[in-house]
Amino acid sequence: MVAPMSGPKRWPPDPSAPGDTLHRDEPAGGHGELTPLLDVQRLLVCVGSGGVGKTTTAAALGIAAATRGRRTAVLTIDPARRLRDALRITTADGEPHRVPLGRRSAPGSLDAMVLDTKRTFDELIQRYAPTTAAAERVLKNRIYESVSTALAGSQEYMAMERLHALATSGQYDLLVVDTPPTQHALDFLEAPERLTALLTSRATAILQNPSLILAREGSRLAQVALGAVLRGLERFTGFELLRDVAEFVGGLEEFSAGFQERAAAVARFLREPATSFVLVTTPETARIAETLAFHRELVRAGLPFAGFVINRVLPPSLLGDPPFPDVERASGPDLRLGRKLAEVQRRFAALVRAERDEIDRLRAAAPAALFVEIPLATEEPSSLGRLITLSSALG
Amino acid sequence: MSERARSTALPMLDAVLQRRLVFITGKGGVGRTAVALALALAAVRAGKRTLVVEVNPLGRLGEYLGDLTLAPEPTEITPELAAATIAPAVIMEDFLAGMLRIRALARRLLESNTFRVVTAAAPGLEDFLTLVRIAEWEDERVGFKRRRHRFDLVIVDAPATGHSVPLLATPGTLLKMLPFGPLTSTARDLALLLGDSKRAAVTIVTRAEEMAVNETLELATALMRIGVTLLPAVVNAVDPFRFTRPEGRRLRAEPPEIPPEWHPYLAVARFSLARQRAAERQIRRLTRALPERPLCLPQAPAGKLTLAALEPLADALAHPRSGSSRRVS
Repeated sequence: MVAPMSGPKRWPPDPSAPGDTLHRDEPAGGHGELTPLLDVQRLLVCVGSGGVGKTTTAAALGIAAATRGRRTAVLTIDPARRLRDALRITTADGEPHRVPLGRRSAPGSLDAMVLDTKRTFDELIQRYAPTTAAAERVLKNRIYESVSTALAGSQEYMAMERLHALATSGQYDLLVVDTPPTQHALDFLEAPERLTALLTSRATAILQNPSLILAREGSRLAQVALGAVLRGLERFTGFELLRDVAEFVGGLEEFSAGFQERAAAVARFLREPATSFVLVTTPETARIAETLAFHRELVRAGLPFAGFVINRVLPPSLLGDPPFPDVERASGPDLRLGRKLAEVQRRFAALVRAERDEIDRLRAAAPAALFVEIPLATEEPSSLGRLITLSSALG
Repeated sequence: MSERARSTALPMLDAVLQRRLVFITGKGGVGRTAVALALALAAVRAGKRTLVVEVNPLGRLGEYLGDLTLAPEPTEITPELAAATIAPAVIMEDFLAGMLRIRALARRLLESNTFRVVTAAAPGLEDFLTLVRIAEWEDERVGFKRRRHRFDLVIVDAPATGHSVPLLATPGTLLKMLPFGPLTSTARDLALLLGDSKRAAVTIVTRAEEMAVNETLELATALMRIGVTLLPAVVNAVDPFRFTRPEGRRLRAEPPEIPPEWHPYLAVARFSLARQRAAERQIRRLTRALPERPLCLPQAPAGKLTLAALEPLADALAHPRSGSSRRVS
């Protein structure tokens, strides 16, 4: 039914469309303040609420660093894969795709990649399995695919895993990563530990004797009821779920030490002095409140927080200088247009005031942080050209 | 097909009021919950006893309804409006409690790491249980047993794009996996309900922004492939303020065709005009690519979202011609 929507001819994205000149304006403030991070750090982690432009910011940071001569990689976990559109990544296979920045980036470069959770999990298992046969047993298990992608936290864990692998490969000077939207800033940081705990629990013993789950309720009735639940779940999945889970978890237990060691290495990596967390936000009241909460969480967890990127800030430079002309002396269509002009000016000024108040609130809460404001553009940074423009505001 | 063709002529709200179950989905952050609530308000005004259900453990529906803690059972907000939330963990607990008959045991089981691996290995279980619960509320026959749970319309504030498609595809996926078995008849009932254009439909909420529109068009294709009925999309937060085409030409001309003493207004006016034109381009893209013209809603008032603050959105849904919806130039 939606057939006409395919076929790019119908609505080609047109970065040079008329009316698209204002986004090249100078940012409202804080121009290039992230330069110190871009030049010396090895890992930048973009965190923040959903919908604030984390993925775009990560891409722009990557471009800025590459332009400053660093070999940079951007990893996105965002399932919507918006970065992929802008950076022209053709497949979400976890492989690096060179972003065509041309001569502007030499000697630096930018690779972009979209996380492939299952593939990263495969590699992790192959690396830590004591034997090839042990790896095969896990990878060929019927439930492996759903567990590797559906278990809460596996996406975040695999992102951390991939980051660590990239960092130790020596291929890159700087890694930039965006994070999936979470309610709490630390959710994704705790994911590796939670998942490791899950996979290396007493699962084998429990599954061989499911009644251990309810050990405290030792009654015969409880055990019978549990048996019924597990049988119910088997019927739901239509296969021998318990046997498969027991085999799967049992297989993983053989290399749980490797898993735990790896998770600990990733956790250390996130706290190294060469790592910086960048909080991305927009200037609306609700978002600033969430951002302040995120900031408190990061600081409390002792993570290396460096600064804020405030996206989509109205450029105050557009406001004209008073005194403002009286439009009421005009007549006819002129009067209608004049009134609209005065209204646009009034509304814009009120919005700018409200945004400045919010940004001041943020600055007061974190006086030592770096601040960059990205001005609101008339078009979204959905093309490489616009991303490059945006990156110039960052460093 | 003829049903769909006929419904194109109807305004968005009428299309919703003709159904009993409407899913609201779309990209994260576009305002799905606000639109779901505004639709519910408009439906209540039209005399429908309405239930809004949020399928998101981190959702804000309760906050918007006056900082209520919602439950997986309907909470009455007004005599004609109720709200509920479905969190996977809670619904799983209910499911287990139903099987075990002892809630304490269900809780204990859910706390077990091993059991979490087991449920993760049973893909689609949470989605299936979520749909079963929603279908119970949609079912008119429930009224004979529990009068207070009879609803004319159930509006589901569904998960964002990435999760909505697998959620709505669950019955079909299950039927393919398990053509026989104890769950098959339930899965078949669910598939019939979701595929019945007279009872159930889906609407996508979006914004007049390029990336949101890209995602909307992909989502529309995926939903049509599943076989659900798509209602007109809703473009949220469209600024009703606009310059007319002749005004736009005067502002963009070099030099601008306005009295010279008005020039202090020019930079802001041109910026505003450029944003207006960009938004209109995106609405045109949606209009061309989707089978039905999208409905534009104004921005909800700034500040804390409440039922009262959503009244203007409900107005705009009920009277789309009175300024909030417009032909784009």
